[in-house]
Amino acid sequence: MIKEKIEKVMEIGGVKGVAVLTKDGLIVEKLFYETDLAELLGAMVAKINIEMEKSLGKSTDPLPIFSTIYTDKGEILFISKEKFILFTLAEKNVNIGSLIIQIKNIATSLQELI
Amino acid sequence: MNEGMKVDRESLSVFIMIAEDLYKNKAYNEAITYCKMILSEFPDIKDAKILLYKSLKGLNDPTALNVLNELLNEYPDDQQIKSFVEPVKKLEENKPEKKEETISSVNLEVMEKIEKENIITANETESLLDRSLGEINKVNGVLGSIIIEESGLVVKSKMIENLDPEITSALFSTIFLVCEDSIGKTDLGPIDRIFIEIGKVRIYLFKGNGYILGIFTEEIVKIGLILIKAKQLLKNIKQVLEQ
Repeated sequence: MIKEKIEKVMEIGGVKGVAVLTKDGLIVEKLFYETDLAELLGAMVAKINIEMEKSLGKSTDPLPIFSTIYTDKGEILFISKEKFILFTLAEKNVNIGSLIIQIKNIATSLQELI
Repeated sequence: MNEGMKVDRESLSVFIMIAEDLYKNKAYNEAITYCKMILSEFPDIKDAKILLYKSLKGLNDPTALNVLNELLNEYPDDQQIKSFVEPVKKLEENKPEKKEETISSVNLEVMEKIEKENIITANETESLLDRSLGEINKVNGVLGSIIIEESGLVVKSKMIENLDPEITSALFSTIFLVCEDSIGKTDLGPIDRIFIEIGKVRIYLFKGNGYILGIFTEEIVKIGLILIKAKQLLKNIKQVLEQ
């Protein structure tokens, strides 16, 4: 069920992978071209999220934290809800607007499942 | 731009013309590159050396003095070169006890004076940073901005009252540290910027030259404009803070 939902993100051109994590960084579901990268980035995203929550306050379902990290060769987008984090890795040329909308929609639909 | 280009006798005048044009258009760095290309092949071209001196002077580069000294040694009777040290001579007339000094040593004094004038005082630095942040804050929808040092120390902040700059700077610095630490292990390259959205507030983080610029905005904001202004500020910040 979760896989079907996150597959929609992979349909966007330029997306290299998408994963759902628990707040402590454990992968619930992933779709990644490079599987090792999912573990590494997942751990990183969870760690960043902890730091953000420490300062900005805990993310909740109605008030999630959404972040984008722009690097030289790609973009990491993640949304932190109350119980899970949805993150994606994309190329620089991705349609970022469409990806953001899709991630937010999928995260909302996932919060009922997790 | 000039990769693989070679200066020969026939193209020499063209190269000098280009360098002159660049100098006139205040593209000093490019003019210097062309002059150096010419001088690497033909070190005796006076025009190129003069242009190199003028371009270096345009950038307030202290090495301009070395070039001027070389010119003075090579062409001691040249009127144009002498004209470069005219203001120095006038200064000399006012100080009769130092008349025996050579033109080059007086020029050194002038260069030191110029350097001294270019050092920005603490107050000037503060007002420059204040103005730069004010410029960013003027953009519609911007709630506040902060400049912090890489390690988390606040350099300058212009924020809304209920936000503590110290806590904010600690957060921004930690976010960048954690991100850089993890992304360094992948082949994604260095971090360009970070964007955080929580509720109706957005935070844009930019890093450059060892400083982090954080900008708080409302939901709807002209991000393109902010991006341009932030990059401009980070480009000049090192010069302002470390001069």
